[in-house]
Amino acid sequence: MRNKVISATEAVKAIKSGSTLTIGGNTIRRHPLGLVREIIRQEIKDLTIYVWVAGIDVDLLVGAGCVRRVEAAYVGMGPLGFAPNVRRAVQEGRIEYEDFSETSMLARLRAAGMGLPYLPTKVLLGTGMAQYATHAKPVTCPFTGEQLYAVSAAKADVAILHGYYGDVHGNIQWPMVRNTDDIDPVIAKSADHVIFSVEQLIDPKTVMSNPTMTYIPHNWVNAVVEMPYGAHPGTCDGIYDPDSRHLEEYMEAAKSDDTFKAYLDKYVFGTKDDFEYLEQAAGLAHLLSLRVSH
Amino acid sequence: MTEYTLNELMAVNVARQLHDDEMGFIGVGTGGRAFTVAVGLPIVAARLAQLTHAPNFTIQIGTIISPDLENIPKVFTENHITTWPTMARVRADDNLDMFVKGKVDVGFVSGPQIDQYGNINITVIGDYKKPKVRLVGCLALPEHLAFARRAFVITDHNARTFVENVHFVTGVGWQANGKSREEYNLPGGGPVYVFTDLGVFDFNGEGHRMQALTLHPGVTPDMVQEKTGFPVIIPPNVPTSILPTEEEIELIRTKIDPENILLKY
Repeated sequence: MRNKVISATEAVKAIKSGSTLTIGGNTIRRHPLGLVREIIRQEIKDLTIYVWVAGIDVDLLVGAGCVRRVEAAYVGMGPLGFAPNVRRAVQEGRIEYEDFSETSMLARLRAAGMGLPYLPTKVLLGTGMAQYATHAKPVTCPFTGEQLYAVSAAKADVAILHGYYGDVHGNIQWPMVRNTDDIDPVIAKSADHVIFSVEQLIDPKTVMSNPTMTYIPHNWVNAVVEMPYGAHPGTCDGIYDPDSRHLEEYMEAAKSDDTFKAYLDKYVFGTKDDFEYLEQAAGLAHLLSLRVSH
Repeated sequence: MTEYTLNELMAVNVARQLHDDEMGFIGVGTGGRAFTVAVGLPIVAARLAQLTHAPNFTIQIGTIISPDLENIPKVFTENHITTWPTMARVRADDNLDMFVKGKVDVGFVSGPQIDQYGNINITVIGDYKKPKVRLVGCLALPEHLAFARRAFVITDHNARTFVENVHFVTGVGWQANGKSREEYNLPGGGPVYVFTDLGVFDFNGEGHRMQALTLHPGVTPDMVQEKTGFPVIIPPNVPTSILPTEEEIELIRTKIDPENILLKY
């Protein structure tokens, strides 16, 4: 069985400027932020992003000027409120944005994962989404005659996700205690090329004896990167809480382009990899203080 | 006479409209006052209904199905939410399928812009293509208004929120862009009540426009009109809102929210 473990630097090379990207996680939970920081370091630009309920992942990429267009049900900072870089970029007309609801964006990602060009939905009826969307068209049900909307498949070139545990072959496992509010398996199925960062690499024998804990099997995954605290400063539910100290600093820095550029210079361009980032942004003692028990 | 806070009055008025055997869907929310109206008030109302007239009322908070309301977390931070005892934590995609299918009885919603037909905007302020203020997107607000059997709107009353026309129809009320809910063939019941700091409203006014059902004690029709950006229908002799009983206030303060977390702001 092939060993799929590579470095973040190598893994991110699969993402080309001008391509489409989808990202796992939810608001400030379990986003592959170590991989996101590496995308920024490699100065990959002009990305079109397909996400469901996103947050700091998209805000970082937009703030670093990597993004041309976002299609999403939500981009915000969860308990911290609005995503400052995204808000500014949309208001200043620097990025394109297309809105979908949770079930219609889910339908678009599902269609991609099912190999279909579109799925039908009722949720757009009468809404501003229907009025403005370029990826939605009215259709009539051939069986009932009902008016529906077809929403097109959001098929990305690459998906990046952060998993709790994984083995070298790319079997990704979840823990018993977790926050289930995400659609990571749907995201993983939707893209052509799937990169997972994981909190911890585990023994393939452990996987073999607990196969029902595998939520993403190796045959869906192209590359695995071990990135402890790879969701920092967000949370990896069941393992560590969000780093509210760093998130406050982030929100403050993201208030203007200049201060956010200084943030990126210090923490992303000023660090050669995510190990250095974690030392700079938090330090081991602080990282350990974020650990949770249950 | 029982003394109560405005939040307690609002919670009691919400609770009295919840029925036995229903399931309510509450979002995850942000902080401060937005947390109170979107999360805190609905949880208190749900628990109050359980402890009084609707023992089998249950809630889901996102993907958390029927959490233990005797053990509400002291803080709503990640690990407290993740370890809150509950009957099930389902995958978000499964959860949304059941929502669309019609398995949510009461959807609790809020928003920065609401118009006289109950259309709600949480997406942009200003022009969609170049907005004055970019908000969070759509989330599941469209689903609440399209698929829940009844949607309950909880928000504070001011003319910036209650506007003549929403700038973007995130969720459809009783009429949008000149077409009615029925014409759109939306399966859910749509917005049925609006609970504000001034009173309780429904959409049974002429042409399904918002009208006052009850006003809170001390609130006059002029006060309501002043804080509403469209002509609000206020019937003559509009009754006073339901006043909390001593038992309800006792339950909220000693059993449901003893540390004043849910109704703090």
